[in-house]
Amino acid sequence: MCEVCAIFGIGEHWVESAARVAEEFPAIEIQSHRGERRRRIELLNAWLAPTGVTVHDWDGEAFSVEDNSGRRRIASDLSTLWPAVEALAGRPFDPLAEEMPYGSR
Amino acid sequence: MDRVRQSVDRRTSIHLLTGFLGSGKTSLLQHYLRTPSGADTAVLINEFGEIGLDHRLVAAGTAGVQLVEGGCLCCAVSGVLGESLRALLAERKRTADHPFSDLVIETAGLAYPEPILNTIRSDYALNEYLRIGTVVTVVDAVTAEQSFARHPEAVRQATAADRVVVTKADLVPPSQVARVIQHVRSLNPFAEIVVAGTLEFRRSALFHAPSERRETWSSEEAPTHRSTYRTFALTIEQPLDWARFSLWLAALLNRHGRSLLRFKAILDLRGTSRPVVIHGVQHLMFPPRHLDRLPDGQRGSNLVFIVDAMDPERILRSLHRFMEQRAQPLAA
Repeated sequence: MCEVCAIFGIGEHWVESAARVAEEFPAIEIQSHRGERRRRIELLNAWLAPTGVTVHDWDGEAFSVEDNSGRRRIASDLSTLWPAVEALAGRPFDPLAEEMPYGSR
Repeated sequence: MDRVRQSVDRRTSIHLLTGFLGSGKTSLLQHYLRTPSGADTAVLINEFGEIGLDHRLVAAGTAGVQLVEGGCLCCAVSGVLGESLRALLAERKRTADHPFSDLVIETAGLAYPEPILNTIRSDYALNEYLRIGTVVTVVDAVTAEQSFARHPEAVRQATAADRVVVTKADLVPPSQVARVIQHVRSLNPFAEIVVAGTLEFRRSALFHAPSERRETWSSEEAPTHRSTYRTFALTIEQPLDWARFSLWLAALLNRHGRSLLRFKAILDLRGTSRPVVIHGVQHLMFPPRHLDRLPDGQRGSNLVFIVDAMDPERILRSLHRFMEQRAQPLAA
């Protein structure tokens, strides 16, 4: 499954869907998918740094959202990630807020 | 459950037929079911009220008609909808009596379409067998302008549409039909608009997927008495960073999904030569589609938003902050 299809919980695991993308070299696609996941998590952790909430890869498929006190929530995709982040941060993450929501990039 | 699907999608298409009270949904469906395309179509009808009548009006000989009663499909009976769909699918598998290749849900006139789509999309079992097809919204030329002004349901039905069928055009002057079409276009620049009873309207193609209408994307104020609805289009010239953009969009949908009535974009992504079309209705994102190249005349990424009570300037500034890229309003 390509990186675009892999988010928002709209596809299945990439192993099942790689054929549908009809890429000639699925291994390259898988590497690219993993690289994008790493980058997305790095970005998230930079945005969330002021809150003490961190996000980790969970088995290459889901996100593990954790806070300083050891609480943890598993989010299956990006649609469920933000509610999990907000629950642990104790405040909303509104991208339209005039400052970066948590005051950092 | 067979988790590995064929590379060709063989799932049954499930179409939505929506439209405000009295707009002519059932008549249109009756006509469609008499065409060759409609012969293998199963129908699920929802009515707001205790005793359903509309299902009796639908032509006999269809692959199967079921009525969902006891409340409006969008808010009260989403569980019942799932059960009805599962029952239809189970019946098809069990017997050869009711084969069907397509499925149509006719919604109640006061239904919001998005929760119905969401019910189907969020049910993993149903998703194995069904994929969302075309959303057709029926708009009554006689009463459309009043309905849009007074009833948010009518606006949401129009904004969710892939195709809008204008009915009762013969009952009003051509100038009024033109105004209604313009109004619909301003609410939903993505939809194909056809007038029932004209040569361009083909009954048998009612639920065929419309082609892309990228050339109509532009920013407009919807000429409605509810001035909170707006359509606006943005362009970002440089290729987009998908990791950043997907995080931003997911955060936007999480906080503002209710106000984001419709979203569609053709994205030029960094690191790939194949652009991607993504679209969503409120919180609900649909599967992306890959293009071989950008449409003629397009440079960079184009994004269109249909919003209720959201300031386009705030979205522009937010994109700039998060993407670290400059977005511009897209001229018509």
